This record gives sequence, structure tokens and C-alpha cells, in this order.
Amino acid sequence: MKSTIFKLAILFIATLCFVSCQIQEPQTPPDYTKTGRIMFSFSDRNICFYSNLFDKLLRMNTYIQAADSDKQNVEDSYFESFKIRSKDNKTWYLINSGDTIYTINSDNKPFSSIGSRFSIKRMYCNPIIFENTGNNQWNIKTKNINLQDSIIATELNFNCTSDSIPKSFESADFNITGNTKFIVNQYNNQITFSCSITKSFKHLKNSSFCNFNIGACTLMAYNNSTLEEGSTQAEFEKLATDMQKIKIIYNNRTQTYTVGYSYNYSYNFDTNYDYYNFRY
Amino acid sequence: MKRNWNRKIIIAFVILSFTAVKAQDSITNVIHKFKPYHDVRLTLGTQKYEIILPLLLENLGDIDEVYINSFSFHPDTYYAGAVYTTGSFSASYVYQITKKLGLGATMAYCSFYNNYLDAETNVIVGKSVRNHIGIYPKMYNTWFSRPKFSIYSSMGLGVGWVFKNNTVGEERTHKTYWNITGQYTLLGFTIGEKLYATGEILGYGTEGIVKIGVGYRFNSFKKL
Repeated sequence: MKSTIFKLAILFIATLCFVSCQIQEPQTPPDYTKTGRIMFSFSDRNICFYSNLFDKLLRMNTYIQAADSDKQNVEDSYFESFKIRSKDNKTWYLINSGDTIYTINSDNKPFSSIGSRFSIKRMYCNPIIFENTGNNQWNIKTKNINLQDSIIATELNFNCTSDSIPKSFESADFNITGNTKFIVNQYNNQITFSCSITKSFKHLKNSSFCNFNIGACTLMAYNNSTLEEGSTQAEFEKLATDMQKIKIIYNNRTQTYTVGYSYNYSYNFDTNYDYYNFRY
Repeated sequence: MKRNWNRKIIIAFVILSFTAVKAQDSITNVIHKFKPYHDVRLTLGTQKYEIILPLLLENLGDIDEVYINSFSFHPDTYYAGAVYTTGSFSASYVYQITKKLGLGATMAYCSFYNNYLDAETNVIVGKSVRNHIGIYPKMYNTWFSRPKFSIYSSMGLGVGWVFKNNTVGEERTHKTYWNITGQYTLLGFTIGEKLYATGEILGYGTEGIVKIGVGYRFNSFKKL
């Protein structure tokens, strides 16, 4: 009898070993600084939108300043996607596939001279004014307007460090400083983002208007519905390869992302796409 | 002449013994007449899936785990490690009404557990244990029956409860919810008469895909 019980016990344990097992692999670790990463992406995109507008103004200035005999060459090389039209040589229309994507109001003065003010309006957006503040620096100050996001307040400075008269943003070195505050509608939630540049965003010549080589910023986000808020420290630099390293600190947790240099700006601002509808 | 008689006697014995054996076989078949009996069995089964049946109600109870793709100020900072199971333990009672049909009830238990790991450091920060208990009536259809061997299929459907305990850091949560549960077994067999071994394959439900166990039949056969 004892022997039978012993055998049954052995059998039970052996069976237990057989039936108890792992049935599922571990989950993939979550992106624990994802919120900070999204905050950085929105802010980076917002600044990128301004640098694109600024780039158009510098190009338009190059076009305006060109000799009449050279204008067609400038148009072909600086506005590949557009046809330039103007009725009064003051208001300029950049037309792509029949749509007026940009409307530019130029000053009587060259954009490179101190105090000159050029305004630019992208399709679906309110116009904004860039002003030359001297020392090869341009500035924008906006409040309560609609661009691709609803802007609460923006103050950005674009300081050219390579050319005395830059022909475009993309062909010169620039440092961008300042701050921007805007609202994004995200899944029925209105989220207010603010970005304060703590280490100037450095743009190097011959790279896209969205590519910044190095920089750092402090980011805040605030959900207007739930009243939740969060803050992030972000720092980025371009790697030797065509990659960008972004260090994000969110909720005392740090993570470094390595992403394609133009990872989230493959879209083109120069079409009639309504960026109000753009979502992360 | 005497030698011939001896040979004839030996041949006659051999023939008689074969005849006797055959006669005994036919008698055995006759004396095992079926009589309804009680049957209990204990089994262990392999459980491969935590969601045992398409348990919609269970999923509804777990709605906080559904991933919502939106901007959140509180991203997940930990994740679930590998999920393990104890396997399934079940106890069944069967009343074998006819040679083919048996009715009874089963109580089954199985547990699933995993650790939670910090996303940044992979250090264990918590654990989760889900204890599943199911109770259901069950029907057995024995489609091949011999005194020491039988093959059957079975099916049961009933109610189950899940007792879920989660601990992450200082935060502890306990949740209980019910669901529909049961077991369907396409192929099961028993080997033995009163005390017998049982095995099931091609099963789907609380008791697992493959299971083995022991059972006991009370007064299973009546000798005439």
C-alpha cells in the first residue's frame, strides 16, 4: 500500500512538472519616455514649420533682388516646385499645381536690411511677419494665430552665422533661439505644448530646413480637458551617420533614441495638404 | 497397441483443454452485465492558453489593460514578464447511466502568474496571479467499451471565476470577475476496471489540451 502511494506521489509530481510550464513570452518593454518623445516631436515640428516659412522668405528675397535677366534662373533653382506670380511686385504668390500655397508680402527694402518686414501666409494658415532685427538676425513674434497648430505665442530668433546675405535658410548656417507655445488637438483632447530652447538649435548649411544639428530644449505639455501636465528635457545631436540621437528625460527617467535624421518630416509643406489635420 | 491408446488419450486432453478455454471465454462475456455506477476521477492537464474559451466577459472585466493609442502623461514604465501556469487540476464526478451515457460535474482550477519588470532596468517591480476556478456539468459519451478499456468524448459548459491579484510597487489591486467556462474533449480513454488510469487528448477548455489522471468506479460490474 505504502509503495503504491509512493508511486502515485512520484507520478503526480512528474505530471505536475509536465503540465506546469511557460505559456507566453515576456512583453516588449514599453517606451517609458514616450510622452516626452511626443512632446519633442510636436515642438520640433512646430519650429520646423517656422524655418520652412523663413526659408521661403529668404528665397523670395533672393528672387526679388536678382537682376531681371537672372530672375528665371533664380525661380528655377530656388522654387523648383512653384510658379511665382505677382500683380504689383509687392505681393507674391507661390503656386503649386494650381494652388496658391504661399502668399508673401515683401517690404520695399531688401529682407537683408535692418528693420525690413516680410510677411508670409501659408494656405489654411494666418500670415506671420518676420523682421530683420540687425546683426544678421531675423525675428518672429506672434500671438493667438492659426498656423499648422493654433499658436498661443511664439518668439523665435534666426541668427545667420555663415553669410551676410543668406540666399536661403537651407544654404546657410543658422542658430535658432526663443520659445513657442501652441495647441494641438489630439484625439478630442486639446493639449497645450510649450517649448523653450535652452541650447540653440543649430542648422548647418546644405541641409533641409528641418534638420538641426544640435540643440536642447525644455518642454511642457498641458491637457486642457483633464488638467494633467508634464515636463521634459530634450537634447539632440546629429550623429556621423545620417542619424539623430535624441536624449529625453521625462518623469525622472532617461532614454536615448536614435532615429533617422529626417524621421518625421518626410512630408512636404509645399503642397496643399492641410496640416491642421496632421496628427502625430 | 498400448502406445496407441496413450497417444489417443493425450490428443483427447489437448482438444478438451482448448474446448474448455473457449467455453470459459463465452462465459466471461455473459457474466459482465452493465449496471449504473458512480465514478470519480482526478486529473492534471496542460494549459496552453490563459483565455480558455473566447471569454468576452473576461475581457470586459479587464478593460483597463486595453491599449489606448493616445497621448498620455503616464506612459507605462513596467511590463509583464513571461507568463507561467501551474497547469490544470480537475476533479470530476460521473454517474454512468448507461453503457454509453454518463452525466456528472467537474470542478477545475488553474493558475497563471507573471512578474512585472521595470522598463528601464528590467528589475522585478511586481507580480500578477490569476486563479481560475470553473464548475460545470458534464456529459460523457462512451463509444467504445470493454471491461478494462474504454474510449469516450465529453463536453461541459458552466461558469468560472477569475481571482486576479496584481502588485506593482506599493500598489495592490484585487479583482474578481466571472466568465463562461467549460471543456470539450474529443478523445479520452480509461485503462483499468475499478481503479483506472485516464487520459485525454484533443481537449479544449479549462482542463487543458492533454490531461492524465486516476479514477475509481464504484460497483461498476455485476457478476451473474
